[in-house]
Amino acid sequence: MRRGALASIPLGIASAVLGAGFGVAARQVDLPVWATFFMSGSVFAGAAQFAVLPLWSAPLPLAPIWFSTLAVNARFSLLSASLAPWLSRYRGATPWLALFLLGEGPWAISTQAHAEGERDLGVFVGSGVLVWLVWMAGTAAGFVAAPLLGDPRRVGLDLVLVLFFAAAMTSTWRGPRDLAPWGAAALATRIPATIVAPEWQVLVAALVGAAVGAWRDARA
Amino acid sequence: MTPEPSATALAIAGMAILSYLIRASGLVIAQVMPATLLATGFLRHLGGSVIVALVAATLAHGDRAGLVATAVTVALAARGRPTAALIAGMATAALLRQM
Repeated sequence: MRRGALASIPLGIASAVLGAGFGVAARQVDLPVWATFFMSGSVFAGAAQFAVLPLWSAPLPLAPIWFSTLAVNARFSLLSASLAPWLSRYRGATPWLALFLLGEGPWAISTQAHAEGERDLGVFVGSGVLVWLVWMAGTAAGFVAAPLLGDPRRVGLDLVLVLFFAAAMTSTWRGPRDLAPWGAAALATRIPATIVAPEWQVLVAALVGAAVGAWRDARA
Repeated sequence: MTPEPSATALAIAGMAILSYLIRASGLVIAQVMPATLLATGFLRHLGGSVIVALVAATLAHGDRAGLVATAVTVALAARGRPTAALIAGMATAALLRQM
Protein backbone atom coordinates (compact mmCIF):
# COMPACT_ATOMS: atom_id res chain seq x y z
CA MET A 1 0.00 0.00 0.00
CA ARG A 2 2.88 2.32 0.77
CA ARG A 3 4.27 1.73 -2.75
CA GLY A 4 0.91 2.68 -4.24
CA ALA A 5 0.63 5.81 -2.12
CA LEU A 6 4.19 6.90 -2.92
CA ALA A 7 3.68 6.39 -6.65
CA SER A 8 0.56 8.55 -6.37
CA ILE A 9 2.15 11.78 -5.12
CA PRO A 10 1.78 13.65 -8.47
CA LEU A 11 -1.75 12.26 -8.69
CA GLY A 12 -2.37 13.41 -5.11
CA ILE A 13 -1.43 16.98 -6.04
CA ALA A 14 -3.81 16.85 -8.98
CA SER A 15 -6.63 15.39 -6.85
CA ALA A 16 -6.19 18.00 -4.11
CA VAL A 17 -6.39 20.82 -6.66
CA LEU A 18 -9.40 19.24 -8.33
CA GLY A 19 -11.06 18.69 -4.95
CA ALA A 20 -10.52 22.37 -4.18
CA GLY A 21 -12.15 23.20 -7.50
CA PHE A 22 -15.17 21.13 -6.48
CA GLY A 23 -15.31 22.79 -3.07
CA VAL A 24 -15.38 26.20 -4.76
CA ALA A 25 -18.03 25.13 -7.27
CA ALA A 26 -20.22 23.52 -4.57
CA ARG A 27 -20.16 26.68 -2.48
CA GLN A 28 -21.09 28.72 -5.55
CA VAL A 29 -24.35 26.75 -5.98
CA ASP A 30 -25.06 26.94 -2.20
CA LEU A 31 -24.63 23.23 -1.55
CA PRO A 32 -24.62 22.89 2.28
CA VAL A 33 -21.32 21.92 3.88
CA TRP A 34 -22.56 18.48 5.02
CA ALA A 35 -23.86 17.69 1.53
CA THR A 36 -20.59 18.78 -0.09
CA PHE A 37 -18.61 16.34 2.07
CA PHE A 38 -21.23 13.59 1.82
CA MET A 39 -21.03 13.83 -1.98
CA SER A 40 -17.23 14.01 -2.24
CA GLY A 41 -16.81 11.14 0.21
CA SER A 42 -19.47 8.75 -1.06
CA VAL A 43 -19.67 9.46 -4.79
CA PHE A 44 -15.91 10.13 -5.11
CA ALA A 45 -16.04 10.91 -8.83
CA GLY A 46 -15.03 14.45 -9.77
CA ALA A 47 -16.52 14.63 -13.26
CA ALA A 48 -19.95 13.37 -12.14
CA GLN A 49 -20.00 15.69 -9.12
CA PHE A 50 -19.20 18.75 -11.24
CA ALA A 51 -21.78 17.68 -13.80
CA VAL A 52 -24.71 17.63 -11.35
CA LEU A 53 -23.99 20.94 -9.58
CA PRO A 54 -25.83 23.11 -12.16
CA LEU A 55 -28.95 20.97 -11.48
CA TRP A 56 -28.91 21.73 -7.75
CA SER A 57 -32.00 23.85 -7.09
CA ALA A 58 -35.42 23.03 -5.63
CA PRO A 59 -37.28 20.94 -6.59
CA LEU A 60 -34.30 18.67 -7.11
CA PRO A 61 -34.54 16.89 -10.50
CA LEU A 62 -33.67 13.41 -9.21
CA ALA A 63 -33.92 11.52 -12.51
CA PRO A 64 -31.63 13.92 -14.45
CA ILE A 65 -29.13 13.94 -11.55
CA TRP A 66 -29.00 10.16 -11.44
CA PHE A 67 -28.94 9.71 -15.19
CA SER A 68 -26.12 12.21 -15.53
CA THR A 69 -24.17 10.35 -12.82
CA LEU A 70 -24.64 7.08 -14.72
CA ALA A 71 -23.62 8.57 -18.06
CA VAL A 72 -20.59 10.46 -16.78
CA ASN A 73 -19.34 7.50 -14.70
CA ALA A 74 -20.09 4.81 -17.27
CA ARG A 75 -16.41 4.79 -18.25
CA PHE A 76 -15.58 3.37 -14.77
CA SER A 77 -17.07 0.11 -16.00
CA LEU A 78 -14.26 -0.13 -18.55
CA LEU A 79 -11.59 0.66 -15.96
CA SER A 80 -13.02 -2.00 -13.67
CA ALA A 81 -13.09 -4.54 -16.52
CA SER A 82 -9.48 -3.84 -17.41
CA LEU A 83 -8.43 -4.50 -13.79
CA ALA A 84 -10.31 -7.82 -13.82
CA PRO A 85 -7.27 -10.08 -14.46
CA TRP A 86 -5.74 -8.58 -11.32
CA LEU A 87 -8.84 -8.33 -9.10
CA SER A 88 -10.03 -11.85 -9.94
CA ARG A 89 -7.01 -13.36 -8.22
CA TYR A 90 -8.43 -12.22 -4.87
CA ARG A 91 -11.26 -14.13 -3.16
CA GLY A 92 -14.16 -12.87 -1.09
CA ALA A 93 -15.03 -9.25 -0.44
CA THR A 94 -11.57 -7.76 -1.07
CA PRO A 95 -11.98 -6.82 -4.76
CA TRP A 96 -15.53 -5.54 -4.19
CA LEU A 97 -14.40 -3.27 -1.35
CA ALA A 98 -11.37 -2.09 -3.31
CA LEU A 99 -13.59 -1.15 -6.26
CA PHE A 100 -15.22 1.61 -4.21
CA LEU A 101 -11.91 3.50 -4.59
CA LEU A 102 -11.85 3.12 -8.37
CA GLY A 103 -11.18 6.28 -10.34
CA GLU A 104 -8.97 7.12 -13.31
CA GLY A 105 -6.07 8.19 -11.10
CA PRO A 106 -5.52 5.06 -8.97
CA TRP A 107 -6.41 2.99 -12.00
CA ALA A 108 -3.70 4.67 -14.12
CA ILE A 109 -1.12 4.23 -11.34
CA SER A 110 -2.07 0.55 -10.92
CA THR A 111 -2.07 -0.17 -14.64
CA GLN A 112 1.45 1.25 -14.97
CA ALA A 113 2.61 -0.73 -11.90
CA HIS A 114 1.00 -3.90 -13.30
CA ALA A 115 2.85 -3.40 -16.60
CA GLU A 116 6.08 -3.22 -14.58
CA GLY A 117 5.36 -6.56 -12.90
CA GLU A 118 3.52 -5.45 -9.74
CA ARG A 119 0.87 -7.98 -8.60
CA ASP A 120 -0.06 -6.73 -5.12
CA LEU A 121 -3.55 -5.20 -5.01
CA GLY A 122 -2.30 -3.05 -2.10
CA VAL A 123 -0.79 -0.71 -4.69
CA PHE A 124 -4.27 0.07 -6.01
CA VAL A 125 -5.75 0.39 -2.50
CA GLY A 126 -2.88 2.61 -1.29
CA SER A 127 -3.26 4.88 -4.27
CA GLY A 128 -7.06 4.99 -3.86
CA VAL A 129 -6.94 5.78 -0.13
CA LEU A 130 -4.39 8.56 -0.67
CA VAL A 131 -6.49 10.08 -3.43
CA TRP A 132 -9.67 9.84 -1.31
CA LEU A 133 -7.97 11.64 1.60
CA VAL A 134 -6.49 14.48 -0.46
CA TRP A 135 -9.73 14.75 -2.45
CA MET A 136 -11.60 15.36 0.83
CA ALA A 137 -8.92 17.76 2.10
CA GLY A 138 -9.04 19.61 -1.22
CA THR A 139 -12.83 19.83 -1.07
CA ALA A 140 -12.56 21.33 2.42
CA ALA A 141 -9.90 23.84 1.36
CA GLY A 142 -11.91 24.91 -1.69
CA PHE A 143 -15.14 25.24 0.31
CA VAL A 144 -13.42 27.47 2.86
CA ALA A 145 -11.44 29.53 0.33
CA ALA A 146 -14.26 29.94 -2.22
CA PRO A 147 -15.28 33.48 -1.17
CA LEU A 148 -11.65 34.67 -1.46
CA LEU A 149 -11.06 33.13 -4.87
CA GLY A 150 -12.19 34.48 -8.19
CA ASP A 151 -12.66 32.38 -11.31
CA PRO A 152 -10.77 29.04 -10.94
CA ARG A 153 -10.27 28.99 -14.72
CA ARG A 154 -7.92 31.98 -14.60
CA VAL A 155 -5.28 29.96 -12.75
CA GLY A 156 -5.83 26.84 -14.85
CA LEU A 157 -7.59 24.77 -12.13
CA ASP A 158 -9.99 23.32 -14.70
CA LEU A 159 -7.06 21.76 -16.58
CA VAL A 160 -5.47 19.82 -13.74
CA LEU A 161 -7.23 16.54 -14.57
CA VAL A 162 -6.51 16.58 -18.30
CA LEU A 163 -2.86 17.42 -17.59
CA PHE A 164 -2.61 14.51 -15.17
CA PHE A 165 -3.99 12.20 -17.87
CA ALA A 166 -1.65 13.68 -20.48
CA ALA A 167 1.27 12.72 -18.22
CA ALA A 168 -0.22 9.26 -17.54
CA MET A 169 -0.85 8.77 -21.26
CA THR A 170 2.79 9.53 -22.05
CA SER A 171 4.02 7.04 -19.43
CA THR A 172 1.60 4.36 -20.69
CA TRP A 173 2.90 4.50 -24.29
CA ARG A 174 4.25 1.04 -25.18
CA GLY A 175 5.59 1.92 -28.62
CA PRO A 176 4.30 2.00 -32.21
CA ARG A 177 1.88 -0.90 -31.65
CA ASP A 178 -0.23 1.52 -29.58
CA LEU A 179 -0.56 3.91 -32.50
CA ALA A 180 -3.57 2.26 -34.17
CA PRO A 181 -5.81 1.87 -31.07
CA TRP A 182 -4.81 5.29 -29.69
CA GLY A 183 -5.38 7.05 -33.00
CA ALA A 184 -8.76 5.36 -33.36
CA ALA A 185 -9.77 6.38 -29.82
CA ALA A 186 -8.69 10.00 -30.42
CA LEU A 187 -10.52 10.16 -33.76
CA ALA A 188 -13.66 8.63 -32.27
CA THR A 189 -13.95 11.54 -29.81
CA ARG A 190 -14.68 13.68 -32.87
CA ILE A 191 -17.90 11.82 -33.70
CA PRO A 192 -20.54 14.58 -33.84
CA ALA A 193 -22.63 15.13 -30.71
CA THR A 194 -25.76 14.45 -32.76
CA ILE A 195 -24.66 10.79 -33.01
CA VAL A 196 -22.92 10.32 -29.65
CA ALA A 197 -24.03 12.58 -26.77
CA PRO A 198 -21.06 14.36 -25.12
CA GLU A 199 -21.35 12.45 -21.84
CA TRP A 200 -20.95 9.10 -23.67
CA GLN A 201 -18.06 10.28 -25.87
CA VAL A 202 -15.20 8.94 -23.74
CA LEU A 203 -16.87 5.56 -23.28
CA VAL A 204 -17.59 5.11 -26.99
CA ALA A 205 -14.14 6.34 -28.06
CA ALA A 206 -12.38 3.99 -25.63
CA LEU A 207 -14.43 1.02 -26.90
CA VAL A 208 -13.56 1.94 -30.51
CA GLY A 209 -9.85 2.17 -29.65
CA ALA A 210 -9.79 -1.16 -27.83
CA ALA A 211 -11.77 -2.84 -30.62
CA VAL A 212 -9.35 -1.53 -33.28
CA GLY A 213 -6.38 -2.79 -31.23
CA ALA A 214 -7.95 -6.21 -30.73
CA TRP A 215 -8.90 -6.45 -34.42
CA ARG A 216 -5.37 -5.50 -35.53
CA ASP A 217 -3.80 -8.09 -33.17
CA ALA A 218 -6.16 -10.79 -34.41
CA ARG A 219 -5.08 -10.17 -38.02
CA ALA A 220 -1.34 -10.07 -37.26
CA MET B 1 -34.27 28.10 -4.03
CA THR B 2 -32.33 25.75 -1.76
CA PRO B 3 -33.63 22.15 -1.88
CA GLU B 4 -34.84 20.34 1.27
CA PRO B 5 -32.03 18.55 3.16
CA SER B 6 -33.91 15.24 2.80
CA ALA B 7 -34.09 15.62 -0.99
CA THR B 8 -30.40 16.54 -1.12
CA ALA B 9 -29.48 13.49 0.99
CA LEU B 10 -31.61 11.21 -1.20
CA ALA B 11 -30.10 12.59 -4.42
CA ILE B 12 -26.53 12.13 -3.19
CA ALA B 13 -27.20 8.65 -1.78
CA GLY B 14 -28.58 7.64 -5.18
CA MET B 15 -25.50 9.06 -6.92
CA ALA B 16 -23.22 7.12 -4.54
CA ILE B 17 -25.07 3.82 -5.07
CA LEU B 18 -25.11 4.20 -8.86
CA SER B 19 -21.41 5.13 -8.90
CA TYR B 20 -20.51 2.03 -6.91
CA LEU B 21 -22.64 -0.24 -9.12
CA ILE B 22 -20.84 1.09 -12.21
CA ARG B 23 -17.46 0.54 -10.58
CA ALA B 24 -18.42 -3.07 -9.78
CA SER B 25 -20.09 -3.76 -13.14
CA GLY B 26 -16.86 -4.01 -15.13
CA LEU B 27 -15.52 -6.78 -12.92
CA VAL B 28 -18.86 -8.62 -13.15
CA ILE B 29 -18.85 -8.38 -16.95
CA ALA B 30 -15.23 -9.51 -17.19
CA GLN B 31 -15.93 -12.49 -14.90
CA VAL B 32 -18.96 -13.57 -16.89
CA MET B 33 -17.15 -13.54 -20.23
CA PRO B 34 -13.42 -13.57 -19.40
CA ALA B 35 -12.29 -15.90 -22.18
CA THR B 36 -13.75 -13.84 -25.02
CA LEU B 37 -12.45 -10.51 -23.75
CA LEU B 38 -8.97 -11.79 -22.93
CA ALA B 39 -8.59 -13.87 -26.10
CA THR B 40 -9.28 -10.90 -28.33
CA GLY B 41 -6.77 -8.72 -26.51
CA PHE B 42 -9.61 -6.27 -26.01
CA LEU B 43 -8.75 -5.69 -22.35
CA ARG B 44 -5.07 -5.12 -23.17
CA HIS B 45 -5.93 -2.16 -25.39
CA LEU B 46 -8.75 -0.84 -23.22
CA GLY B 47 -6.57 0.97 -20.67
CA GLY B 48 -4.61 3.14 -23.09
CA SER B 49 -7.71 3.86 -25.15
CA VAL B 50 -9.61 5.20 -22.12
CA ILE B 51 -6.81 7.66 -21.27
CA VAL B 52 -6.39 8.81 -24.88
CA ALA B 53 -10.15 9.27 -25.22
CA LEU B 54 -10.27 11.35 -22.01
CA VAL B 55 -7.46 13.63 -23.14
CA ALA B 56 -8.73 13.98 -26.72
CA ALA B 57 -12.33 14.64 -25.63
CA THR B 58 -11.27 17.37 -23.21
CA LEU B 59 -8.92 19.05 -25.69
CA ALA B 60 -11.59 19.03 -28.40
CA HIS B 61 -13.69 21.41 -26.26
CA GLY B 62 -10.74 23.27 -24.74
CA ASP B 63 -8.96 26.52 -25.51
CA ARG B 64 -5.44 27.21 -26.83
CA ALA B 65 -3.99 27.49 -23.30
CA GLY B 66 -5.17 23.94 -22.65
CA LEU B 67 -3.52 22.64 -25.83
CA VAL B 68 -0.17 24.32 -25.13
CA ALA B 69 -0.22 23.22 -21.47
CA THR B 70 -0.92 19.63 -22.55
CA ALA B 71 1.98 19.72 -25.04
CA VAL B 72 4.34 20.97 -22.29
CA THR B 73 3.13 18.21 -19.94
CA VAL B 74 3.56 15.46 -22.55
CA ALA B 75 7.09 16.68 -23.45
CA LEU B 76 8.24 16.63 -19.81
CA ALA B 77 6.45 13.36 -19.00
CA ALA B 78 8.23 11.74 -21.96
CA ARG B 79 11.50 12.53 -20.14
CA GLY B 80 10.23 10.62 -17.10
CA ARG B 81 9.30 13.56 -14.87
CA PRO B 82 5.52 13.20 -14.24
CA THR B 83 5.31 15.55 -11.23
CA ALA B 84 7.35 18.31 -12.89
CA ALA B 85 5.29 17.76 -16.05
CA LEU B 86 2.01 18.35 -14.20
CA ILE B 87 3.27 21.47 -12.39
CA ALA B 88 4.84 22.95 -15.56
CA GLY B 89 1.63 22.30 -17.49
CA MET B 90 -0.48 24.10 -14.89
CA ALA B 91 1.97 27.02 -14.74
CA THR B 92 1.83 27.30 -18.54
CA ALA B 93 -1.97 27.36 -18.53
CA ALA B 94 -2.09 29.97 -15.75
CA LEU B 95 0.41 32.20 -17.60
CA LEU B 96 -1.40 31.98 -20.93
CA ARG B 97 -4.78 32.68 -19.33
CA GLN B 98 -3.44 35.86 -17.68
CA MET B 99 -2.40 37.30 -21.05
